[in-house]
Amino acid sequence: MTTPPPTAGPTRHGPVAERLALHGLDYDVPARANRLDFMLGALTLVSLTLLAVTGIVLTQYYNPAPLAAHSSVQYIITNVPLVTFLRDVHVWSASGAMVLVFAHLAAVFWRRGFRNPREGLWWSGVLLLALLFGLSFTGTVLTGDQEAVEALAHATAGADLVGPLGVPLQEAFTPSTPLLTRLYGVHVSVLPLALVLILGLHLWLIRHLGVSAAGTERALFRSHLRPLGGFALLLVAVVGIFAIALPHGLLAPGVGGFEVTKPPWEFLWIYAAENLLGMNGMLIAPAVLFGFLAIVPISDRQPGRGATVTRVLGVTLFVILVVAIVYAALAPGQTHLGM
Amino acid sequence: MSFYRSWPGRALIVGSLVAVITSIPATVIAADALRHPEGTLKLAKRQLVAGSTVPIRGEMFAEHGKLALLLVGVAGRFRLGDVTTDSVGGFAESFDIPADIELGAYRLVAIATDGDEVASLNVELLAESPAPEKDPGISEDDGGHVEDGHSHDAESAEDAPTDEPLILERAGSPWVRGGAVVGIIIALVGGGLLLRRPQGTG
Repeated sequence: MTTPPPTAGPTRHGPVAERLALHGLDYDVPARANRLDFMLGALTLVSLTLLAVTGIVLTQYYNPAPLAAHSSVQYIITNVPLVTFLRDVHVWSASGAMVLVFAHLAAVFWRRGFRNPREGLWWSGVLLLALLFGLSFTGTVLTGDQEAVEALAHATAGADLVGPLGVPLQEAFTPSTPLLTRLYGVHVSVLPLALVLILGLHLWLIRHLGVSAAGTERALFRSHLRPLGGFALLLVAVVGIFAIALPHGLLAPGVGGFEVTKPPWEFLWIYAAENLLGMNGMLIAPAVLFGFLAIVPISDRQPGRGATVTRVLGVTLFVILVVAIVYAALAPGQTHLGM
Repeated sequence: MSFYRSWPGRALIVGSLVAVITSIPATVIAADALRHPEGTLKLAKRQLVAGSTVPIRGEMFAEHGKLALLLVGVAGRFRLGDVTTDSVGGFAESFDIPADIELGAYRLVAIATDGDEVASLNVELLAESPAPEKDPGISEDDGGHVEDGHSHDAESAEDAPTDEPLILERAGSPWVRGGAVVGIIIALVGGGLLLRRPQGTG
């Protein structure tokens, strides 16, 4: 039997709440949704908000022209105290978003939150993950330092591998705008716009399909906002502490044709695949990960053998992902371009 | 009847799977067959002066291959000349930069004989300066001190990339740092209070 939310019934609202239609928050959700593992998606959204706010400030100082990009980042670091702090918040928020989104993915996978009727919720989440990787990559190349130049070289080599699909990622795509400048446009407009649209769909589906949580106890969504606000503030504090304690550096201006750096941690699993499979690893590893994620709602529709196999495969992939990141972080640097 | 059990549902799922499974290896194999070595272009400076002669080095291209070097920009494509790489896929030659092309941003591009672009560098084309820069490391005649086809600037700046962060004097302000610390403390206390208070139910 479902337990009704304790205060279900007429609720009084003040004049401001009435005009803001806050009664719209008085819908009931599973009481278990007040646990941290059900708030990882919302906390990812908090990280994305931090990224958007700090990113808007950074755009006022960053110059996306290839010959000026590096010096503009150097200028931010050495001349503008508030903006250099916000840049560090931006970088750590990006890392935070990636950690949270993977934790969210793992939690939803574990509780099978992708099953009928929530397949669209899962697939929109997978798309959001892909967009986050895109944002992280395009953000990495903007600095124009050695790591950025190598990341860009890998991307253009990967674009070569996928033939016509990769043409927009080639310098020769247009003679009027350098690739770096185009990627900046992608970073600040195309990907955020796509993110907002798919995020809107994701939130719509959550609102109308509900959270997948066991138990019959219900609570009002408003009661969810208090712990969520608490965790959000703690997240902001942690990001701020990291930004102060471990500010993000800048390498020397990048030189093409060399591979002396490793990518940011969120791409190390792809780097590990390149160590093992050459440049094709750059395509094969993401294809395996995203292929698996795409197929999960189909292969695990109901209890049975398919469900067990999917769960075992998912756990195995997750372990491989973590091991690959650790391996790539510890392994000596390797060259992949031209392999 | 469930969507998955209907024939359009099954056709969609099976079709998507087949498309994904077959397209990736097919694309990889096709692209692999068409791939050829890509190299690196090197300049002493990324700012080129119109009408000057610029030494350009190349490395890691196909051995004994022919390359065309071009400046590519919104004003058009300007061929600087052709080179033939040596037994290790390198070259070092000087090229005249046309004096009559539009100034601005260009890419210095190496094109292989099959028409594929195999290397590029972003450069900026500047007008000839009436007062040459007083940079001790750069000679005034060619915009880059070059001996034996090698630039000292290129040696120091372009031949020794590293993964070590630059040692930069970070901008600091007690107001920013203090404000950040206060903000962090407020967030910690506020977050703690929100989590500590018994959760209301509405």
